[in-house]
Amino acid sequence: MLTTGLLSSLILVDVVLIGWLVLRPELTRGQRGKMLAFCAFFVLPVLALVGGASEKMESSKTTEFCLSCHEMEPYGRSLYVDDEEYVPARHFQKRLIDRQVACFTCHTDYTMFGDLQAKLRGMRHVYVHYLGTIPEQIALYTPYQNRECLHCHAGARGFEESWAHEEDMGALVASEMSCLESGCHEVIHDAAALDELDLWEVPSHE
Amino acid sequence: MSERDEKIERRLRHAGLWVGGGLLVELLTLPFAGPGAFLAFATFSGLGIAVGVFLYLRALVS
Repeated sequence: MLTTGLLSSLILVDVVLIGWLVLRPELTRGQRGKMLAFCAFFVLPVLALVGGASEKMESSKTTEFCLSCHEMEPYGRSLYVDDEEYVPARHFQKRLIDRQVACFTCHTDYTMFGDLQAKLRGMRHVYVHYLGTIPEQIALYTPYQNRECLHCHAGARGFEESWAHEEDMGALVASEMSCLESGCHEVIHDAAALDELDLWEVPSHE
Repeated sequence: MSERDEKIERRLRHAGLWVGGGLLVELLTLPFAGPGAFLAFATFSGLGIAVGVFLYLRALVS
């Protein structure tokens, strides 16, 4: 993946080349000019577009990106609830997930095209944020799948050796029993109750 | 300069303006990670570069 700095340099070089060829198009009459024009008008812009799209896609995974929309702010705050019962808060505070990509880690689908589907949903969210009507109650499109939990937890010793999990492992793997809705891990973001909850004060060195 | 050359060069100029505009928008949105930058990149930059490349290819085959 091209870094932002490299990509910016490539764009600047291409803009200069294009400016030169736009001011002096007669240069493109010769063989070298034609090759230069091919690079300036086709190769470099396509590279810049693909590199830029890759950069933007990566940045759209970040927690900062998700929480930059004000309607997501309570969900971001809920990651700091000082109560282990809160599943996202526990994962976030104990660094069970990468904090930089906390939302994406739990809200992508771990299937072949899961990332793509998550990005398309994200595009829809961006559209609704700017041009649509934001629903009063934000909810998942479909019930949360055990697959997303098991992507990390399956095979982990703490999970496999827990008596509660051992007992129902077959039902959990087959999604016959929901991790979140079976009464075991049912406290999720609970954004509406945030004002009544204590929040973890992050130490200044964090 | 023949009329054909003039036509090609005019198309190249148009292509350059579109591609250049798209690239400049990309350059401006690159340092920002928010949804606004994402949207500006996906619409203005993507559109500008795509139209410019199309105009350039059209100038080649004309």
